[in-house]
Amino acid sequence: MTEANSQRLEAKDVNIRYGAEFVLRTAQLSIPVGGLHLLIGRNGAGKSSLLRSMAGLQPIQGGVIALNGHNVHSMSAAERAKRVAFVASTPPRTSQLRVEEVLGLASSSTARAAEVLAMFGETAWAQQRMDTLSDGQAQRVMFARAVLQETPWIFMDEPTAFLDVPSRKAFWKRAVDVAVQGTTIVLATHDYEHLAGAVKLASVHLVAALSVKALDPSGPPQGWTERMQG
Amino acid sequence: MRRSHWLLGFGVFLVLVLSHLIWGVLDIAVLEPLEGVHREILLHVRIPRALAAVAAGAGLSLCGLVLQTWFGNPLAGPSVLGVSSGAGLGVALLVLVGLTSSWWATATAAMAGSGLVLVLVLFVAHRFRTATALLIFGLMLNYVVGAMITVLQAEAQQDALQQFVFWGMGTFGHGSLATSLGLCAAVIVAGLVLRTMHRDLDMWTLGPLTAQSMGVNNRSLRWRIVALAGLLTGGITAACGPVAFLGLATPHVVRLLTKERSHRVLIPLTALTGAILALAADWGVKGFGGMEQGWPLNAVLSLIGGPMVIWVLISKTDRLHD
Repeated sequence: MTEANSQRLEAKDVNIRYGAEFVLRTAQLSIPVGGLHLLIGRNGAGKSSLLRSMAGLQPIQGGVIALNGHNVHSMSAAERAKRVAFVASTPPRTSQLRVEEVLGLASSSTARAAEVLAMFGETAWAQQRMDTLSDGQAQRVMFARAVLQETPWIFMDEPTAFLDVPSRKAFWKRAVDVAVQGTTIVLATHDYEHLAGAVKLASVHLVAALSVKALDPSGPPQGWTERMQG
Repeated sequence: MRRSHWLLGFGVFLVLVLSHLIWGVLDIAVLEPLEGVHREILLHVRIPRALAAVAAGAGLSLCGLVLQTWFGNPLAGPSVLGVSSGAGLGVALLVLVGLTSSWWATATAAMAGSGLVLVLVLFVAHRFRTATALLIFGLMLNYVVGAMITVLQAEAQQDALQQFVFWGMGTFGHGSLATSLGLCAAVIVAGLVLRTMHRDLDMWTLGPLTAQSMGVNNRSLRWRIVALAGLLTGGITAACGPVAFLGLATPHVVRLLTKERSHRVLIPLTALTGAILALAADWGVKGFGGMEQGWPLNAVLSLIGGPMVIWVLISKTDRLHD
């Protein structure tokens, strides 16, 4: 693999299927290091499956996904956790750990955990148990946890689905901040309006619009591509 | 968790252990030089019984904790998911068919039976979308295994049947000093191994995907839990019979007594609380009724454990409405 190829995520001829039903067939994708990248597509297009596969959390039925030149499905869970953090679409609802304990699992530095908690405006929740938070609050904690994992890549699956409007705008600003600081963020979302209202779209990259069963980079929301050019 | 709370817990534990060593049909002054029948009673009856209670209480409670964490379900436990029944089937096959009744053979059969059922439960667990479905599966498994045991009982000889029925009542009092010490050693090793898994178990509470993304090898964690829970439940069931409720109830008692939810604290605390509950229940076995053998352990545990779980459920429901 060349140096240029090694500093990116490459998905080649990826097949993902559940039983006999293909969600993605011979999908190709290339995401360079740096910035905030959106994976968009309709419900059932395969965004979540592709995200989980790119993060090495779901097996693929063909092809290869390489992260900075390393096959994500050949890494051990511990090796992968140093390279990729993942925020699932549904926040944990039954965990009774306190917020500070959850963050402590991602970082042994309490100072760094406190810093990230403050950056996310969540200091007041530190002693609260996860099962007492709303879904939106819990999802914000999970983003903070992913940032604390200090990985070069963060993958997020519809991270704003449970957030109210002000929290969505705040989320997008934070996501861009984190990306500017050097972490590459790839996320699946339908939340175009609030993203457009919160940050300069020039800082956002459109990876692909997914249509059912195949990658189809022809369908971003109307007028979006122009706005993304700044 | 404050140090004073730990000291209080250990204090209660020690008082209960000493009370079992001192008081009984014959009172023994343990601080004086022991000889004759007192020494025999202490070495061959009371110490093995107290050790078996401690090991079974701690071990089954740890199984309950780790299974409740793994399944994300407060009703999971060795007896609810059919693991104890599996051990029962193993022993039933051995005893009722009349092959052998040696301790090691019974222990091996119980461990094999419980391990087999646990593997089956874990194998199908990921196929079910809801915890309720899994619990129904466990209940059905209990029925099927129970029916198989009933068929074996119907075909068994009178002596073998009686032996199996007594085994099924559960007791801490059948083990020798060697078997009780062995059981304690196994529970200590299992507790220490579990302690090394506390971060993985904490991460698991955040969901399988998140845990995996944080570096947990889910498959390895699953098999470590199968091995630990299967071996512990099997070994304890072999030595004490199928002991009810401790595995299910102790983690709830611990959650009620403390706000700690990290497995770093929950693991030792659950083991200590389980040992205390088992020792307290054994006083019920010795103290209740006028029978020479006392009341059956499982009757005492069910009489205490049932209302305890109901109380926890009601108090938690109240809290939700606050």
